[in-house]
Amino acid sequence: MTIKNRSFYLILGFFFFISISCDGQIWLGKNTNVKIFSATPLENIEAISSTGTIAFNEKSGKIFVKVLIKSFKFQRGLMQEHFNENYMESDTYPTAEFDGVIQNLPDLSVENTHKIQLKGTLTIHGVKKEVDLPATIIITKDKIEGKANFKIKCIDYNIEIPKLVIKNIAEEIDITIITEFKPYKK
Amino acid sequence: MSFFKLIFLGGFVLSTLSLMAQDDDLSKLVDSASGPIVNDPVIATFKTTRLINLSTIEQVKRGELDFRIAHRFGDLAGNAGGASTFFGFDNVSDIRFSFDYGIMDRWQIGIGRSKGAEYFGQGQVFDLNTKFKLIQQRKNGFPLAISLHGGLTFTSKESNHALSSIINFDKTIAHRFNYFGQILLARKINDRFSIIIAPTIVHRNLVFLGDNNTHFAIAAGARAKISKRVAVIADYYQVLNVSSFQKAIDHQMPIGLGLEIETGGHVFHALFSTNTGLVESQFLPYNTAKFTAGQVRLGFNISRIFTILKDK
Repeated sequence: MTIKNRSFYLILGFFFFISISCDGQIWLGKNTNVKIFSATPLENIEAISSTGTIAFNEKSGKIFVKVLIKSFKFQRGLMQEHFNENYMESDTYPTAEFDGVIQNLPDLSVENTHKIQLKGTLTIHGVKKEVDLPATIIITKDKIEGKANFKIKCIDYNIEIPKLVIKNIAEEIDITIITEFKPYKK
Repeated sequence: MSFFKLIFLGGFVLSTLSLMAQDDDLSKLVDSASGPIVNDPVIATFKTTRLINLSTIEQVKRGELDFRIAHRFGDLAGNAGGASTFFGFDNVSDIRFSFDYGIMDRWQIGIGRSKGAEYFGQGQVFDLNTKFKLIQQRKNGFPLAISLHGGLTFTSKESNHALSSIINFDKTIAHRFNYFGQILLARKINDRFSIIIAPTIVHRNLVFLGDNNTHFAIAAGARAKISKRVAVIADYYQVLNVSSFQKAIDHQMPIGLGLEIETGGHVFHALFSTNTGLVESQFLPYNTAKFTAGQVRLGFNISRIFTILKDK
């Protein structure tokens, strides 16, 4: 009986610990800048969205990123229409998302530039892919910034580039994400 | 032992539930922080500013220039067609080239020049036109896109001094001008199919005896995508107040049917149309080409977009 009691409290304590660890501070990055860039010898194409959102949990390291495809602004209106209509099909797939975990989340009270690794599922154009993305967290006295820069292959996400414009659009698109995190109060 | 197991299982289920809830919370939090998608504008109802004869609610975007060439060959069959004219390729019914420029995303202006279909000698036509987007169709909002489209034509043709001629401009220069106006009502029904209806008015300063100066018409058009970059397009005009003159010349309603192919900055139409003229004040009142008599023609439209001003 005593052994059972002991293990009962042990297990209770263990679950209590888990539930506490799940309840960490959530940090929210609103109005996140997401830049997509395609470089070819013929043409550089750039588009920026400034309405992406990122949330991560300080304890569990879980992170969720979402950006609306229609929020990308191009220098040329026709390009923006083609991007939505032909390539991203934003009526059918309105968002791009990342759902994952920060592998080596640093202590957020230490002022430094920390290299981190994100592991999880990136969903673009309705295609889910397991990815490992490098990123940095920059902690200064008055703010916490997040930055990431990585490349994705159009073909991985079923984004077809017709042969006629293959010289104008790069097969690999460079993505840069910059945000500022604020503690989220419930 | 069973009690122990129950606690263990219960705790395990609870903890996984709380973990799942946590995941949900993060994505829900992001959703609520980024705000709901409201009033999403519906884009790309049509691929380009025109179907075959009918203009669409699409406009040249701000700072962009649309250079278009429209070409209509001769009759495919019938008296003027057939193998001897290589099914109309030897003849040109009409050619028009035009420049349309987007002053704002909502407002474009354009200038064009066409050979003219030579209906009763009428030809050599300059046209000025403008299109203004009044209302944009929105996903969870207004169900229609509404635009205004209008313009005028001016013929530079030498005046024919015969009293009964439709190209006798001796009396006044005003006789060289014709006008048209349209309300374009369009709806993108789904991502593959769009329709447009356009109440239309055409006014000509100089007409034959028994003809109306002002014609009312209703136009209808549609576009159906058959693949990502290829669509079937069609349009039709119905004149509402057919005049006794038009009855006498056996006036026919303009019909167009074509294939739309899009490649980057180009849009290409390969099409059939009954009417020979390319501007509203020509093909609407004067078309006599009869589909059943083989007076249908091949044609093409080419549109190329140039960027004049870039947004920064």
